[in-house]
Amino acid sequence: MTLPLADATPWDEIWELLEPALGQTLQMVVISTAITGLLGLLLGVLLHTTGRDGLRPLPPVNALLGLVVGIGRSVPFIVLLAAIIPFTRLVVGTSLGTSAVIVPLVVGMTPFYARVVEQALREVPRGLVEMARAAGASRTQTVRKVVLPEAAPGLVGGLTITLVAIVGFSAMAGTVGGGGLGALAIDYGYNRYDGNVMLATVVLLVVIVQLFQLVGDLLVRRISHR
Amino acid sequence: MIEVDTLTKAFRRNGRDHVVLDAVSLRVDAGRIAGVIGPSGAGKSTLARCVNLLERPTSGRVVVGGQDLTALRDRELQAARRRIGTIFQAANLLSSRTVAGNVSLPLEIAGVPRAERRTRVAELVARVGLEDHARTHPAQLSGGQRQRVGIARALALRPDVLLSDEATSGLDPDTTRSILALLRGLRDDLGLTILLITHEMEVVRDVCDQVALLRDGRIVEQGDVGALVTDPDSALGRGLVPARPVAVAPGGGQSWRVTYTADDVDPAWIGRLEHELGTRVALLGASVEAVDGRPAGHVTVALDDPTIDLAERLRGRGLHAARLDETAADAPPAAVADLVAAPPAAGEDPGAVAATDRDPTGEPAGDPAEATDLPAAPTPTEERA
Ligand SMILES: Nc1ncnc2c1ncn2[C@@H]1O[C@H](COP(=O)(O)OP(=O)(O)OP(=O)(O)O)[C@@H](O)[C@H]1O
Ligand SMILES: [Mg+2]
Repeated sequence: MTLPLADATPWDEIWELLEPALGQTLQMVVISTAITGLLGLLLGVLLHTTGRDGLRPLPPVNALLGLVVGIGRSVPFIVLLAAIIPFTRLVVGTSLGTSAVIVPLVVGMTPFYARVVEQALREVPRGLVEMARAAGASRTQTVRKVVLPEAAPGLVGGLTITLVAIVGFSAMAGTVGGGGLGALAIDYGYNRYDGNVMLATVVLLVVIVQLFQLVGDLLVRRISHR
Repeated sequence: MIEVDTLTKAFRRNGRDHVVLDAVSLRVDAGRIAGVIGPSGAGKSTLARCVNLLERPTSGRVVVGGQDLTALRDRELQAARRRIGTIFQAANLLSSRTVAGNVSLPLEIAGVPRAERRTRVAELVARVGLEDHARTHPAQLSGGQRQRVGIARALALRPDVLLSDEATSGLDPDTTRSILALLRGLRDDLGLTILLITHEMEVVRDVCDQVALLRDGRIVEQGDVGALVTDPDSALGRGLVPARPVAVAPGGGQSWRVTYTADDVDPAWIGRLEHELGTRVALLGASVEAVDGRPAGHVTVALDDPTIDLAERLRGRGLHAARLDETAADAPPAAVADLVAAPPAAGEDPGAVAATDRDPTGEPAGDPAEATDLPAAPTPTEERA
């Protein structure tokens, strides 16, 4: 297929293209990260507490959760995107557009963050859990008052990593008409050989990722007192 | 009051049951401080963990404050644990909370309202002398200060009973003394019953009313500290006031080892003895100190005349005398290290340790690192050889 070589978009017009795309990307990333954070936290806590050394060991439940998470993590995102279209339609009523991308992003990233959470919780010293139990804490209180606060730096750091990964995966959203910076880069930069748009989106993505990472790191430093 | 009744705990490992506690019975009356001492791996921590049921006993009962903890369900157990304060070796402080926040934790768990929490925390932080550090995070505290925070936290819910597992291990002697003084003060002021797990004889001697020696999961000897130190037959007593190296008897005289066996020994007994015998009594070594408020320990003296029977002369004065070569043959443990850190030889009944004495030349077989704070004093025989 030969497309007429479009002239590169002039620099003073680029922002008009970038602005809506940036808005779409931020929307996808922020909403997906928020939902992934909540679901992943829940799943991670369940994985941890039902584990062998957990507060309430339940081997069958733990094995089942592990399997679900494992499957979720081994399906490539691009495949997942297509494979769960019926589910996406069920949840948001459409399989196209920005909100339709949020569903696969959440489904794809929740297992990842759940493992990150499990890892962070595992690093809380056992002695602290023991101390809480000795002080008469229930299992729920132990998780809420001891395990989660002590793991907070790891949880926030892990969420930052998850968010950055979501920025990356959201670029694939173009395939389902999701819009955003990734779609823009492919549309203009790749399909139309518009080097200026390509460069501008890449720079913008780099800046966004750096900013999020910076904020995440600052937050971790603030809540960490080790 | 704490009552442990024929407590047995077995762990399943590699398909085999390992008995870690074997029919342990122990009773600590209200307001008393009881020590549990023993070599590494004896089961001391397991015993402590069974007392608040962090570890469920395989059999036997644990009664704290009249309540049989082994009979309780989850929720009742949580309530019961709030009446037992626990202090850990590692302090186990939350790094995410300040000193005040850590002390406040048990109060939050028990649902104490915020205003009440605040006053109680201030009170507790002051009680352990950390007023200036209420807003400090644990990472900025010294080991002794961290331990104080742990103690304040253990006291938060006004428990009747305090469990302490190696709370002073890893602290320097001065800090250890100050922590022990704090615990003793708490007992005196609040009438707490304290179960103190330790591997240091000095801790037992300085603060405990009673002590049990745990070895291989069994209580080998137990009793009141005051009674044990004055019992010449008690291995534990000799461990509490260990023999120190003594000088060589001048001019081939006869050396005697004199043990204090009563609490009303005449402090001037050596002078009196010289006067009665009309001969001089050479003092070769002594380790006499106040244990539980009374003098206890050993004195080694020498008499020029080997025919004098000092044992006979000192009987009835609260002093037990034995010829030193006799003592050597029937030797007491070389030091606390030998008593506490050495596992019994293969096939030896640990129960026999209290009665029979161990080879005085035998090196303490325990972990050398364990033994460093229990320096092995050479026996008199070694010294004279
Ligand atoms: N959860 C467990 N599972 C299996 N074995 C255990 C467990 N806890 C303790 N043990 C075993 O029980 C024995 C006693 O351990 P414990 O920690 O009570 O000893 P200790 O007297 O406190 O020693 P230390 O002075 O070193 O702290 C050890 O042999 C240990 O391996
Ligand atoms: Mg221990």
